[in-house]
Amino acid sequence: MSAKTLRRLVQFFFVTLTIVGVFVVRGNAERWCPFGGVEAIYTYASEGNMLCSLGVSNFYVLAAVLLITILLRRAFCGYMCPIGAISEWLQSGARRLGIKEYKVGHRLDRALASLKYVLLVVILVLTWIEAELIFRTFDPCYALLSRHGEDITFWAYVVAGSIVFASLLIIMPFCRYFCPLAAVLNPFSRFGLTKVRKDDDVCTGCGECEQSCPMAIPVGQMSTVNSARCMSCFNCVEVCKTDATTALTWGPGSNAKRTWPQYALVVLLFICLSGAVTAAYVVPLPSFVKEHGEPPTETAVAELAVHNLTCRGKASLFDYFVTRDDLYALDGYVRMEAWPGPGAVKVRIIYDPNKTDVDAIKEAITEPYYDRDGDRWRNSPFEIEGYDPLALD
Amino acid sequence: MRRTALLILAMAVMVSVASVATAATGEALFKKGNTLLEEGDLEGAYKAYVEAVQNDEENEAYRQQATMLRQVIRMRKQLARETDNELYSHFALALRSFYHEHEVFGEALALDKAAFKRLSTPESAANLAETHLLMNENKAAIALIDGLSDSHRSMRSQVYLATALARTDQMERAKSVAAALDFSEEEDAGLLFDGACMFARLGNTEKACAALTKCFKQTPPSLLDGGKKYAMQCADFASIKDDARFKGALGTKSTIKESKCSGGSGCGNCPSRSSCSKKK
Repeated sequence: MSAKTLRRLVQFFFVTLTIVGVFVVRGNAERWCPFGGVEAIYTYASEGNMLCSLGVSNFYVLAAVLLITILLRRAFCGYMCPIGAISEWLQSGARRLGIKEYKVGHRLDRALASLKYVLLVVILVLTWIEAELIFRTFDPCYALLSRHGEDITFWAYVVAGSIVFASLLIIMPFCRYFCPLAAVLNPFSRFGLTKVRKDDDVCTGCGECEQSCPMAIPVGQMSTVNSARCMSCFNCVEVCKTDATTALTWGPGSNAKRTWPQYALVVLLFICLSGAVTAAYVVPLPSFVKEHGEPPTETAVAELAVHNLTCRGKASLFDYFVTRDDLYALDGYVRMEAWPGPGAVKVRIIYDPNKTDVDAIKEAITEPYYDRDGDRWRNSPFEIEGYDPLALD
Repeated sequence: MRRTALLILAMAVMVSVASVATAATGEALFKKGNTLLEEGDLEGAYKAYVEAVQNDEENEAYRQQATMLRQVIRMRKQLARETDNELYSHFALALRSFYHEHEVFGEALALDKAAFKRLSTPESAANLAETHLLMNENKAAIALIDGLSDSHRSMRSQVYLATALARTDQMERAKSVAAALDFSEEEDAGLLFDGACMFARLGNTEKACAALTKCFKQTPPSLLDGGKKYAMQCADFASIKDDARFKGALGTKSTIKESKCSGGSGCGNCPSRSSCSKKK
């Protein structure tokens, strides 16, 4: 199997996985996006909760992607990212249709490449200030890989459409110039352990390697490809290979004589990703944490399965119920750990057993409350599995 | 074969008849609860609601009403022994809101009188005056407000005074009280509604409709339809009900952004997406 075919297969696998996850399983793809982890770091560290729609799984995936980048450079972009795959497919489709590629000059390319860093800073600063995914309205990835007709706006389609159009003319414009995740990965990728090395004694200077690079890296002009853009796609290594010898090899260190097989890279990718998914399920850190009062020496834990705790906003409302100041006010220390999402979600309430009990906690969560600001009674939207508020009488 | 089919048909008919009968019993019990509640028999109403829930366990409205009334009963008991004035005030407002919503005005009046006696604040005075007005006890409202010292009067109580005076045909005095009130900066939807009632009673349709329009703009979307329905039935607006400006005011849309969770995984269109997480 050629390197290109193997990579296309891996790309196809991840695109299919995403499509099945979004449209068939109807899961929340955002929870597995590594960039979501970058966006949520500040809010999670400062407030103890994830941005709306995200989960701690984003951190695990981000950690896996960073590890992949340190080991294999931007292999995530070349093998796993659905946007990268779609961009490449569009590009090869355009060539087959006879649409000519527009070559971006070196200086313009460098200037445009810095745009992603500016974009990253703007996105992070505004997201951290607002504590919301405020750029989702314009997010082309969200527009392409979410259930359409739910909450995607016109502008997301405009941006996505522009990128699709640009991808027909320019090699991977989003990945090279606009992707904020690429801006995060590049510093790690530059010091990646594996790299493409050139044996200058063997190289004939044919330039085939440069022609084959999907990221337009001038491979032939380097003895070691240290460019942060390198996706370890193996295109250059493969075109260079002849029956007799090869000038380009891939692997750790600088010994150009020894090459590692591409399948080793693919295996490492799957190991890292599986590790992240396993960790997300085995060590499921709460994505919403709120603490009230000083922790006492003795605490007890109530684990509840709560319905309608779908998002961060609802989790904030849940916290409002836990800290209510009426008849059902809970005395003493309370710490709430929740995993907002669809269906019955897990909530852990850590409390002072000398001051309150599980029944009081359940009542606080489910009893209606009087909203003094709005001068109206509001019913609790939350239901606890196996608990009937009226059965207490 | 034919006998089996007939048997299944008969069983299906019996099951549907039984479920319809159960729902009908549930509805009857719920209505009984509503009647008892209006009469001020809270315990009896609660019992009827619980029976309605037992008859129709899936009915969310029955459940919510029963749970809410149970809390009201508990709160009422707590109110009698509450020593903290702040909590007392909170419980009194909560109970009052419930009584007003369910038109249990007798209970509301007793509560407002007790709250005014205990708290003696401009707010508790205005609350009592409002309940008097809702019960059409205009003279009692006038006597109450006339008896207040200046420090116990508020814009709200003055609005009620002018309304009560207008309702009892003391138009000159009503107009002079109203003339001292400035609604130009007012943002409170409740007070704007009361102001609209006052202006309507005074025959000032222009100001009544302007206040009503502003009131509806300041009303959360979830309460807007109820507010408009109430305005259409309100006796204070009887004289302007057919006026085009009043009908125009009824077409006003709310400018308040309100959280209405999509229930889905995302919140891209949620109007409170940038602020809900920051609210306590």
